[in-house]
Amino acid sequence: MPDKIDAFESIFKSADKLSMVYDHIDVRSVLLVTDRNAAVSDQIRESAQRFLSVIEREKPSWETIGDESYQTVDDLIGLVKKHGPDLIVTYRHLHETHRRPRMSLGVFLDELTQATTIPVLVLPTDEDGHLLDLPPSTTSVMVVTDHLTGDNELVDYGARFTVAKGTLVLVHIEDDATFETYLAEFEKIPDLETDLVRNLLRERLLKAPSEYVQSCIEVLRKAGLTIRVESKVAFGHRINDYEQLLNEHSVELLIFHTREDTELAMGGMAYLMTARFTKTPLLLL
Amino acid sequence: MIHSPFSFTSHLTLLADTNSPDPAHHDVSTGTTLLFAAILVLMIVALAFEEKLHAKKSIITGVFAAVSLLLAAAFELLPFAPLKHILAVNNLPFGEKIEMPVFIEAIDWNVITIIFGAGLFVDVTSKSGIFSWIAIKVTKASGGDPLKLLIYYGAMTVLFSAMLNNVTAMIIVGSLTVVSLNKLHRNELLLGFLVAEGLLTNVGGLLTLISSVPNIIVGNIAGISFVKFFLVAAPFVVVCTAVTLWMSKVIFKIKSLQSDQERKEAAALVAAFDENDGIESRRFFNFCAVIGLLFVVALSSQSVLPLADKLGMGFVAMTFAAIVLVAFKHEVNKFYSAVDWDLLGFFACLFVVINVMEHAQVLAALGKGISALVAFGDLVGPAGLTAGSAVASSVTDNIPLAAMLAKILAAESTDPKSSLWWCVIFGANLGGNITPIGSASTVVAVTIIHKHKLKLSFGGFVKTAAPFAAVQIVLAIIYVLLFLR
Repeated sequence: MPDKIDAFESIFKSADKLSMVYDHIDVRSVLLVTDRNAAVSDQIRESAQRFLSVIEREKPSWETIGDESYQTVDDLIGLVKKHGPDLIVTYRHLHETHRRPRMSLGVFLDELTQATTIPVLVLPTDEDGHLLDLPPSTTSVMVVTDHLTGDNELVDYGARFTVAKGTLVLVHIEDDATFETYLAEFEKIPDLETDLVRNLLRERLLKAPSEYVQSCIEVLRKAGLTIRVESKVAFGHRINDYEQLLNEHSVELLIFHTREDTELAMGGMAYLMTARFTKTPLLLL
Repeated sequence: MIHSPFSFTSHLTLLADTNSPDPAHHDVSTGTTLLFAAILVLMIVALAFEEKLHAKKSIITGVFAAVSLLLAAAFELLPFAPLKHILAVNNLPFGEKIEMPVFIEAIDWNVITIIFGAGLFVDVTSKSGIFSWIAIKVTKASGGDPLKLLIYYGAMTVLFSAMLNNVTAMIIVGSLTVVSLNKLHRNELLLGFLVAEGLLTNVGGLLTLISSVPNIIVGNIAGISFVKFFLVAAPFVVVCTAVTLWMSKVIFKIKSLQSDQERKEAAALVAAFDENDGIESRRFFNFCAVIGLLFVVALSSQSVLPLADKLGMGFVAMTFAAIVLVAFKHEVNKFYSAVDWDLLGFFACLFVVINVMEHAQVLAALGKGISALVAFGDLVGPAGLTAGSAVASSVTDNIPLAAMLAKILAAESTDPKSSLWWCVIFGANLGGNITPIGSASTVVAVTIIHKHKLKLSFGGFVKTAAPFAAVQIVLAIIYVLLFLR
């Protein structure tokens, strides 16, 4: 009897579809953080404003924290908290002129992402840490995660930063290696039919995000947004697949979470992505 | 065909009984009758403590059937005559000799085939997603309002109990209640909902002849048709359901949503349920919807359908099960393995035990007690029988109780139109609401309650359910006295 109760609870849980609830993201104030003088900072700001034309229509206030404004991480965090912006725009390796470890954001930005929950736009840099030219606008935006279902915030930001008639790509990649690790253990349980478990589990893991993507398309359309929504929901190797999709869609802005609920910011996957995708503007949530 | 007062309704058994000595006329000593009565009491006690014994019903009754048969054979109580002379009377063309073990003849195969066929039919049709489709539609229609949910789920519990069986109905509605109240962030109402639904399964189990096993057994022995059963039971079920829901609203403090904002939010939450999620094949879904209706029509008209009237309701149930199984012709094994063999084994062994009790004059002795009760008059007799059946079925399985009482009433040559049959039916069904072990569906309700870490002890259930059960039993007595005498 308990197995039948469980079976029907599963049927009804499965019928409970997590539908997207759209919220417009307000960006009323932007804080540019640089380690350059006022003139160079202004050039960076102008370039960033062009790139973020999608939010410029609401005429957000822009403020700049330049090289003279802070010397330590605590100084910077104090200033950010004082300004309380809706968005921070900055780049890697602030105040690191001599030593630029490639697999890092630099001490200032790293600490900043830990200390605040304000979204941070990380501008692209080359191997030597020089700022790269920004794309003219955000016509192709991609959000990536391994748990898309119900992540309204991620989709809201993706939709907010995609220009009209632009393309928003929603990506959910289930990690093949993790799946195979679990399956290897399932294979050792005699009561389970391995092929059946494999197929059902694969199907279920992709079903919910696929349905959520459909609800996103419908909800965003109903909200009057004129953006095109594409998706990729599949099993694979996350970093490799993200990279392939970045190229395929000529992505101009990549958005992802930097932290899980219980984690410090810049945990495993977020850290890998920031280290790997240095030449693409990143919006870290 | 002559019906022996002690005969089961199966054709073969009737043939056997008409030619075997009338069990009522066995020369059985009082000591022997008392010995077998003690065995019967022991079996009933063992069934009441099924959970404590960690033994399934079929095993308990199987042991008692074996012991009863051995003792009955030792005391020479059983009619061991072969069937050859019976068949010779019926002009069998080749005069062949057919021998049937005495315990096989004792089983009411009509009841077994109804349960087997209807169980298989429900199992297969539920794969179409039709019941979850209905359940989710009902949830969405409520708009997530707790009071509407209680009323809609209550009505659905009654209908599902009538169409399927009490246990399946409780599993479906109980599971949905858990998921939907969780979705609506109303988990504090879960206990009340589950108790109310558990109580309503036994009310819904009264609606049709095939809604519960006591109905099948008593209805078969009394010769009550499907339509007649429905027409008599339906008004009571409607009133009893309404009263139970009203009491649930008051006792469990279930209220409607107050503000428009609350209603809007709740409606949005239940709107997220997709009733089509469980439907893998729209074609099979439609097929099951149609065949389900035909099944009900066939059962209700079986007594007037040519050929089916002779083949019985069990034939109808088995035929429909076979028809739906064709859709899964390559994988029927999974449905066969899902059949409740424990339940079927329990019935088979129970019929054997009761048959032995007939031969040992135990039922005749109990019949005298029932006769004495009925002799109190038109008011006290039926009222006493209803209340007595209810109390007895609250502490033990209502199936042996119903089978035993029905056989006793048959032995007393009770008129098929007598209200006494209904006293047994109402009492045996509603008695299950007094304790958590009173019926299989209340056991399911308590299982779901405990699965979700809600505290409800045996005493707690009795304290909560007793007012409901008392009102329902009083209503049943009033109904019998006013309308069925």
